[in-house]
Amino acid sequence: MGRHSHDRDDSRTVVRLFTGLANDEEEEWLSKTDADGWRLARRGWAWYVFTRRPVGERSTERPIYRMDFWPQSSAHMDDYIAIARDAGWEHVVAYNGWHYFRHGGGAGEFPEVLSDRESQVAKYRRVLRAAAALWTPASIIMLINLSRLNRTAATGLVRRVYVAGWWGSAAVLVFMGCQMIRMWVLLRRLEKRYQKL
Amino acid sequence: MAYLTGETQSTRMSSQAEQYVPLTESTYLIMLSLLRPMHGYGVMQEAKELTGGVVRLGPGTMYGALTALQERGMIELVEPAEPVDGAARGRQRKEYVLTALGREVLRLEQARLQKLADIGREVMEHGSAQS
Repeated sequence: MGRHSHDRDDSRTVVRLFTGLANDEEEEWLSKTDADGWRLARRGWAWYVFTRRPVGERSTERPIYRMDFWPQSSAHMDDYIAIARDAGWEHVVAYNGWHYFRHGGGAGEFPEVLSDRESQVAKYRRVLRAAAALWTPASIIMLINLSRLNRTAATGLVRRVYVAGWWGSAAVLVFMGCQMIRMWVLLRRLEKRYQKL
Repeated sequence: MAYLTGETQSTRMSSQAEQYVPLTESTYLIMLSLLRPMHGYGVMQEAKELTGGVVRLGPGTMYGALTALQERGMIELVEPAEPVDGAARGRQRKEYVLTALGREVLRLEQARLQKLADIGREVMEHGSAQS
């Protein structure tokens, strides 16, 4: 879980690394944090800034966060945000193609941000395609660096820093690879559950 | 798919339209709503009304469909009748409407669904198709 690296009365920064590939877990975590009184305000590379729910504002029963992914910025994004607002979803944060929406929950039924199977599958595909476009060249560079690492003339501390850096990056790539496989499995399951006979 | 759409029109638009059929349920309802100019949230409400509250379209599904339909030339933006300025423009919702291609796709899909429903009813009521 996240660690509170910085805590003030009205805002809180939590260090947490999500690659976006586990966005179901991220949505769940953000919803839970909001229910505890902390609203998402900003997000950075590996941290989230929350602000305390305004005093006097009634806490809704179950605030809900949803994420959608559109890597290419489009002129129509304003329209998306307007449609979402009309439907009761507040656009909270945009980060690296990810769009965070918040719904206060409360009384009555409301539609999901992605209300049908086809659009959920399409989102997963956009995410996986973007992740693969990042992961594949990064892995190739890592392999090239591995052969360089073995031939480097550097010794002592410099060499140790090289090696540590390589293993650190490799660990991130393996982690990301595992998450890509997990998302692919989720996507397959989603497609299979609704498979046309 | 020609056997389902009745008389074959060998126009270019028809063959272009055929590649988009069948539509998803959401897209079908969105296109039905866009026979007349409407903004995104209006479409969501229209779809809900048309289906008696059964289908509730989400904003993300709406946006994805509007983007895809516009890219494929099935809908287009409606220019506002009179120019608005300042704050009013910010609040102005974008309105969309079906193009000629969009209407053709919708017609093909409606005919396809109609034919399937007709066949289904005949078989279930009479044990076999009459025609």
